[in-house]
Amino acid sequence: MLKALKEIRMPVVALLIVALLAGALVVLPGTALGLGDIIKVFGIGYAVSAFSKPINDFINRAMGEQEAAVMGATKVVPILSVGTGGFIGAAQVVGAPDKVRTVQAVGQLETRFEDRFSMRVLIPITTKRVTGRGAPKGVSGTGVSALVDFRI
Amino acid sequence: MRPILVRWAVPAIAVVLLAVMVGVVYAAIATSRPVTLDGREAGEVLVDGQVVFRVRTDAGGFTAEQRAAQVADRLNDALQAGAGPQDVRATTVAGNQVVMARDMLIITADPAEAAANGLTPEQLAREWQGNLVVALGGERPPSGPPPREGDVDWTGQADKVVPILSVGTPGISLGAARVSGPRDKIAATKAVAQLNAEFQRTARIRAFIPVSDLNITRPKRVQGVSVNALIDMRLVGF
Repeated sequence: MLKALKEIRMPVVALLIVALLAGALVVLPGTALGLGDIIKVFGIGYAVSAFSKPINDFINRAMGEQEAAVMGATKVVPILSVGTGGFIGAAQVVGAPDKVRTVQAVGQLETRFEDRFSMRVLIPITTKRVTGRGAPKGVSGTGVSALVDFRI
Repeated sequence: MRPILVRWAVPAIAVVLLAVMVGVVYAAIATSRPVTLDGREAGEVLVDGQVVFRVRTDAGGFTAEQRAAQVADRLNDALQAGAGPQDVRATTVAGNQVVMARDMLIITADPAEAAANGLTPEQLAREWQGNLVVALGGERPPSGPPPREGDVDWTGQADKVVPILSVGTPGISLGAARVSGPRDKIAATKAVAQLNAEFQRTARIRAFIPVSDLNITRPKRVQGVSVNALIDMRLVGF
């Protein structure tokens, strides 16, 4: 009896772990877990993907309330540091609908000049990877209309 | 021969001047006034004394009356720029139903305003468009699907650096931004208004609105212009 219990214990534990992981992976916006929880568990990249639409709608609504709505397509994508390749926030990009559709991320390049000025160059790009071979391809006719910083 | 020319020249010039003055005087003028509708304070926007919009709800930190005054100001800007009934349209901008005059946003038919009028946002925008067109001497446009977003030129032909000004605290500069867009739009851009907001207490949002006027208490967005770099200046070195 004890041996039989031992034999079935491993698969049961494995099954439980898989069930827990699966439960966590199907967490979507609108469930009890908020943006902060998602960032802590899965990181900024996943959180931006999961919350892209609600954040985009929130920004557009805020601009609409100021009677400053943008005439163009908008989308929220992660910001990638060109130096490290890591996700460091999110940005709302704006432009013609066919161009915005191709944007996957915003590449950020930080530079300093004359010792007093620092510049964050923000380039909408067609990939979510900026490390490795080849420079990321910028999307002309698009730009940034909002930045999103996360508290972790 | 010469006295005859002189005799005719004076009345001719007078007639031309009169025509120009009549043209200037005849341009429609938008005004606003506070009203009480169903026991609630609201604002009306009028064109030459004819009511075109009724603003019933507060939004963006402004009362309905203040919003009506802002709409009248924007409408006057559009009319002074030569906008006529043919330039007025109801359209969708970033998911918002709006009324535009040329490329100037006049009023947003947000869901709360539409609900207060017993209409959908799209129906309200179309209703307002019709009222404005009629007040400007045009014919009420037939019902049909409104044009969609995407008819603005977003080509980055030119760029320049402008100051970033805070919407929340007017007069406070928050650095500078490099903006890009079509040449004429970049020429019209004077600053970038920064609007701060918070999403779910976890995300701090800074929205950038390229504007054509340094008075950003009512930002006048320049469509087709976006930000492609932010510049910070270190004021004190350690």
